[in-house]
Formats: sequence, C-alpha cells, structure tokens
Amino acid sequence: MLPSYYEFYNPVKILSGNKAVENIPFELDQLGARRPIIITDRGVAGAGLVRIIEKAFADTTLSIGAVYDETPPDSSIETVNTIAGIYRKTGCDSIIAVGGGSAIDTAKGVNIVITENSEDLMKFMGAEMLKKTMKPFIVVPTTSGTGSECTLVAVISNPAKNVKMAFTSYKLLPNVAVLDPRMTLTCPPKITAATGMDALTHAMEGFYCNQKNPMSDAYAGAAIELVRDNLVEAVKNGKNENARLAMANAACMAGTAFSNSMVGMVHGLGHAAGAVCHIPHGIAMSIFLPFGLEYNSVKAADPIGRLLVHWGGFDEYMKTPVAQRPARTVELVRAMKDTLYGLCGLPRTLSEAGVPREKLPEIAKTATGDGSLLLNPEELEYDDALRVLNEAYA
Amino acid sequence: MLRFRGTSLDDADLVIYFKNIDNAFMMFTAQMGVPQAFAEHRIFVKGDISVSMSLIRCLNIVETHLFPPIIYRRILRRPPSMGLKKQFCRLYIYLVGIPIGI
Repeated sequence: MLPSYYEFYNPVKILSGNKAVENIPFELDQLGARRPIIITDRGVAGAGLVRIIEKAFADTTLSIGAVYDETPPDSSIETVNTIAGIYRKTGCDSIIAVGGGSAIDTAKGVNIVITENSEDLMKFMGAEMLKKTMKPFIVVPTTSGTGSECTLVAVISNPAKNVKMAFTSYKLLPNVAVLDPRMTLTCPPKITAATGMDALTHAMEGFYCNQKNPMSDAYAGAAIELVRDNLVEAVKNGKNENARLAMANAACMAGTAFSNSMVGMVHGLGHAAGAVCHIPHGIAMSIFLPFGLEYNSVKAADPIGRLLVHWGGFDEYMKTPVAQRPARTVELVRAMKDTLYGLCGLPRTLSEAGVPREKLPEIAKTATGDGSLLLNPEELEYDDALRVLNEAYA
Repeated sequence: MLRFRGTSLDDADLVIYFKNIDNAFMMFTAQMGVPQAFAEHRIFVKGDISVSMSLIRCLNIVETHLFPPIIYRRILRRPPSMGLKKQFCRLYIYLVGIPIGI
C-alpha cells in the first residue's frame, strides 16, 4: 500500500567495481574541484588504503592538499574544527572521506563548518537546518557498513557539553560514493560480521518502520538479498573481492534505504547501549535486531512477513503460512547470528558483549530519548525497553 | 523539564517548524499525529532531537485530553490508559476549559 505522502531523495553518484578509486580525480574535476583534503583514521592509513587513493592522483593535474589521519573512533567537534582549520590553511576546495562511519561523519561536520563559515556546529543541530550547497564531497567507505556514503545523517559529539549532536539534511549527502573492493579487503572477520549486520539492520528497519515507501523498499530488499548471499563468505574469506564488493553495495543500498525511511527501536536501543556501555554499533545492531523484529511483529506484521522473501528466499516465503512469516524471519536472523558467532565470535547477547546487567535500566532510560523511536511502528516506553533489554541479555 | 518560555525564538532549545500552514492545520485538527507528521516530513526540528521526544510525549498526553478516543486512537501509536482522574480532567476541558478558557 502506498503511503499517503512520502519523500525520497538520493543524488549520490555511485562508482562501484574494479579500479573505482582511480576515477576520483575525474569526478573531482567534474565538480570543479582541484585540491581535496583526505579525512581518514590511523587504521585506514596504516592499512595502506590512502596510498591507493594518492596513487590515483599521480598522473593528473589535481593535487591532494592535505591528509588528516587522526580521526578518533567517535567524531567530535574539536576534531571537526581542527580539520576545518587545516582545510582553510592548505587552500583545499573539496573533501574526500576514507573510512568508516566516524571518518565520514567527521567529514560531513567539516563540510558544514567550512560551508557555513562557522565554528559553532551546535547552531545547525537538528533536521533540515542547512541551506547552503556544500563543498564537493566524495566518500570512499572502508567498511560495509554504515552506509554513511548515502545517508543524510551525521552524528558528532560535543564532549564539553556532553551532547551528541545529530544533523539531518539532504545537503550532507556526498556528491560521489566510491565502492572499490580493495578498500574492504583488510577488514578483519569480526568487524566484517558486525558491519554486515549493521547494514542488514538498516535495510530491515528501513523496510518495516513508519517512514517506509516503495522506493526505499526496493533498495532495502536488494540490500537484504546481497547480505544473505555474501556476508558469510566475506567473513570466512576476506580476500574474496566479489563478496567484499557485494557487501559494499549492500551497505550502500541499505544506507540509501534508511536515509529515506529512517530506522526504529533497534537503533534506539543500540545508540543507548553504545552511549552507556560503549558497545560497538554493529555488535549492538546484531544483538537487538531479532528483538526489534519480534516487538514490532504485531503492528508491522505485513512488512516483517514480506522480509522473508528477501531474507529467506522466495521458496521459503511461499512454503511458510502467512501468519508464521514474521516469526520465520526472526528465526532466520537468529540463525545468521549463530553462524557468525561460530565463525568469528560475534556476540549474540548483551552478556556475551560484556554488558553488566546493572546497566540495563540506564540503557533503557537513554533509549527512550532517542529520536529513532519516533518512527518505530510500536510505541516503546521505559518498561518496554527494559523488558527487551532483559530478553537480549542472556 | 519542559517549560513555556514565551514566543521568542532566541531562547528556544528546540524549535519545531511546520513547512506550511496546511501541514500545521492537519496536525492540530488531528488529521494526523506527530509521528506521522515526522514520517511525512511535514515538520522539521532545530535543536536537540532527543529533547523533541519529551515534547512529543507531552503532546500525546495533551491529545488524549483534547480529543475523544475515536480520534486519538487513530493518531497515537499507543494511547495511554485514561483512569478516572484523567477522564474527569477531559470532561473539565470540554465543559469549562474550551468554552470559557479557565
């Protein structure tokens, strides 16, 4: 059924496949840019991935203005302002983010600061507050993943005010996303598994939450099928470039889906667990996903049931009675969690992730303030959150 | 704690904008609830989105007092339970609050 009204927007040009990185100078030229800053982190730089990008500029008239490789695991306002200072000092005119969600969100924050010519990011906090056209911005993800190369969201912390600032704006979308299998080849199995489950959660929540629409459903369904067919192989055999590229595409499509249909309580609980107990985001998503599906399987029975087409396959969908399809979807998600645990030890429960039980009330309280809950099909209050956390504990 | 602090935008920690008057009319006449208004991009937020969650819970409570069940059951995801005290409060709003304004 069509929603009474929806909006869908994804202007990001996607470059996917063999030697995709080598096309970056051409794309920058098309955007009228000549001197990018590369924003990345030590891990990515240490793995030699930035060198691949630098080599792409070797025979061109463009030059890299600066490389900042000290982005911390959580984007922060101090880092954003430091990088903006380097950008201005070195005369850069564009941004290339190379890394996972943190590097990409940091780059989005830098773009806000540079474009708005301001140092106070807090002025732009909120949804649809940015008006100016941003500087040329290219993203090369090195995990599969947050899908941030195709999302309109950035989250940056302000430690001084103890606030996580959320920015939601179509202006934050990059001009180009580059999916090159070389960029994720060095990703270890457990991180591959965690980020893969993050992509699956984006796609699944985008498929059944209240802002869903036919366009986002198309991206989400395709993403789920790619995860179904490639995640285990990518974890088992990290050098399989086909599996890596498929997962990169899955994450990108899942990002496109949830950027246009948002997420729900799985992310609400995951953000809270990350804030209180510092559980990595992908691990939290993997733990909470089946519980989110179960919790919403009354209000969102139809879309969760239809997830079985993509997650279980057409045959599985047809042989499962209609009333049992949501439960079967949940069962298959749990089966994937067990497989990944067996392959790389990806935690399946909060206790396996090392969360102390006495932290659950604090996580529940924090979760109720998360904006993701607004688009969840079923209301989630404190008692509900605590009950779900206890179920996810053991 | 949420407090009314007047109509100046300068002091606001959170501002919720309606994109146009039609969207505002639809929401305030209970043709759609706040979650649906967000889902359909009818409104947008300046400030801390987590604070908006508290405001929305307040709006839910206000809607259950202003509108009869046949309306609020349609626009709220989970209507809160209305005990005797709240029922009396709603009756007061209908008989005294709305007509006289006290």
